[in-house]
This record gives sequence, C-alpha cells and structure tokens, in this order.
Amino acid sequence: MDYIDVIRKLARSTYYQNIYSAAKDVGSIQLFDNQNNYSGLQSLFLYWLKVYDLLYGELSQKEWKYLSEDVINDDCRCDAFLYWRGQNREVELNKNKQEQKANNLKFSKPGKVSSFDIDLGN
Amino acid sequence: MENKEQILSESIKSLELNNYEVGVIQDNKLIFIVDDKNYRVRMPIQSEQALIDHKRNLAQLEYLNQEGCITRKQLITKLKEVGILDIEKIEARKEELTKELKQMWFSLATKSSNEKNRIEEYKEKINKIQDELKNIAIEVGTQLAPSLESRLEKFIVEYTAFLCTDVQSEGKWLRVWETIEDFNKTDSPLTERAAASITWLLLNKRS
Repeated sequence: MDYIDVIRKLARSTYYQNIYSAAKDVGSIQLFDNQNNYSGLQSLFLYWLKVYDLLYGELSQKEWKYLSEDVINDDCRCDAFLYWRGQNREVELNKNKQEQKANNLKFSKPGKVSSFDIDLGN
Repeated sequence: MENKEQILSESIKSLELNNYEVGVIQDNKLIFIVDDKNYRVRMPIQSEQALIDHKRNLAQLEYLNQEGCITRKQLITKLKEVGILDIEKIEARKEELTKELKQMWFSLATKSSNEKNRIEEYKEKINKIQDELKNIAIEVGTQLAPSLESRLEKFIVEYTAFLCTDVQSEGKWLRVWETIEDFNKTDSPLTERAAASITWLLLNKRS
C-alpha cells in the first residue's frame, strides 16, 4: 500500500477526524508529540485531515450532488471529485468576478448616477 | 539498462508495499526488519546535515575531475543527439497525459455510486494513465542517472543512510556503521533498504 493511501485512510478515520475537530475547538488537544516544526509527513497528514474535514462538512450540508461517503472512502473517486469541485469553484468565482465587474461598469458610466426613490414624507 | 530500470521499479514497489504505521507520522522515523533485526532510519540532526553538505561538496569536486563527468543539461542534449531520449517530446507526452487524466477525473466525478461499471472503467483508465506517468518518470530518471546531479543525489542518499541508520540492541538504538567504508562493505539488502527508506524520508522532508 502506498504511504499516501495510508495517510489518507488515517486522516479520514473517525478517530482522527474527531481528534482534529476537538483540537480545533480546544487548543490544548495535541495531534503530535511535537508542537511545532512539523515534518513533511506530519504536514501531509494535516493537509488530508483538513481536506476530509471539509468534505465531511460539505457532505452533511448536502452541498454537492456527487459527494457521498463512497466517494470519500475511495481515493481515486475522491481525487476526481476534488478536481471537479475545484473546477466548479473556479467557474463560480470567475462568474462572480465578471458580475462584479459588470456592476462596477454600470455605476462608473459618465453622466449616469444611481438614484433611489426615497419618500421623505413631504 | 533494463536491469537498472527493474531495480528502480522494484525499489518503488517495495516502498509502496511497506506498511507505514501511525508512528511514521508521529516521529518521522522508519523502522524495518532485515534478518530478524530491527533497524530504523531517521532524519539527520543539524551537525550531521552540515557534514553531509560538506561531503557532498567534496564529492562534487571529485566527480568534476573524473573522466566523462557530464551535467544533466549536457546529457539531455547528448541523449537527443544520439536518438535515445528526447526530453522535450517526453514533456509534451506528459502534458498530454495530464490533460487526459483531468478529463477522466471530470467524467468519474460526475458518476453516482450505482454506475459501478462506468466507475470501474474510468478508474482503470486513470490507473493506466498514472502508471504511464510513473514509467516516464522512471525512464527519465534511469537515463539521467549518469549525470553529475543524479550522482550527487545518490551520494547524499547513501551518506545520509550511513549516518542515520540505527540498529536496535538491548532496547537501545545504536548506529549501524562507524565509517562510510563499513557501509560500502555491507551486504546489499540492508544498505539498499536503508537507502530506499532514507530516499522516502528525504522526499517528504518539510521544504
């Protein structure tokens, strides 16, 4: 078994996910013997802990049609989902940026000002 | 050349087959067993790292004075000239494969769990692409092994393995080799295993 497979399996396990959640809420809970200067492996483990924490969160919120526990437990499907999710997020982000740009353009057209109907009660 | 490729493939396979336990993540040490004895490799401490750097510089000077010393860049040009390996073409193929891989991921991601056959089909294709990418990396690594840079990388791995491999004796961890000559004289299964484990630790070193 590849070491990354093992790290991912540990990171998505209920045991480590619970410790991770508790460590986020209660500062005194430690994941490792050392408190700083994490090794490459520890950093990798922390990275996957965070990824699975995010995925479990999004699964409980039913944020994505294609996200399921089966996907989380299958590394290949999970990689595919993370890629697809990333692409979707990017499209969403670009759409928002363009909308914002379009709104800014509307407001900055010379001679045009936005106005509001305000009932001053006169 | 085929033999070298085989050794490299087997080393990678052996690394992959190792059962990495929780302890590996907790203290960044790798334990392995050879001939019923417990061994471990660890990352070098600061003074050992300074010694490794110093020895590496000396090795570089020594290699530069040797006949046939060739840098990676020169070797890439030479390999292309004699028609053995075209790195530019290989890079293009890698790009193509990566693009294909992303397309496969996209298709796989949009399958629901009840589409089992389609899921297996995509997973198989993804594995194939990933295997080809791995083989390309092995091929490039093998062809560039005689370069100065690759030889220095090998030297660092072996010197680190010599300094940072311990054997368990009466509950204590003791250094296996006193000198680099002792390391070089030792039977290959132990040195190969130590070097493979050190490579793995170094690859995962915090950058």
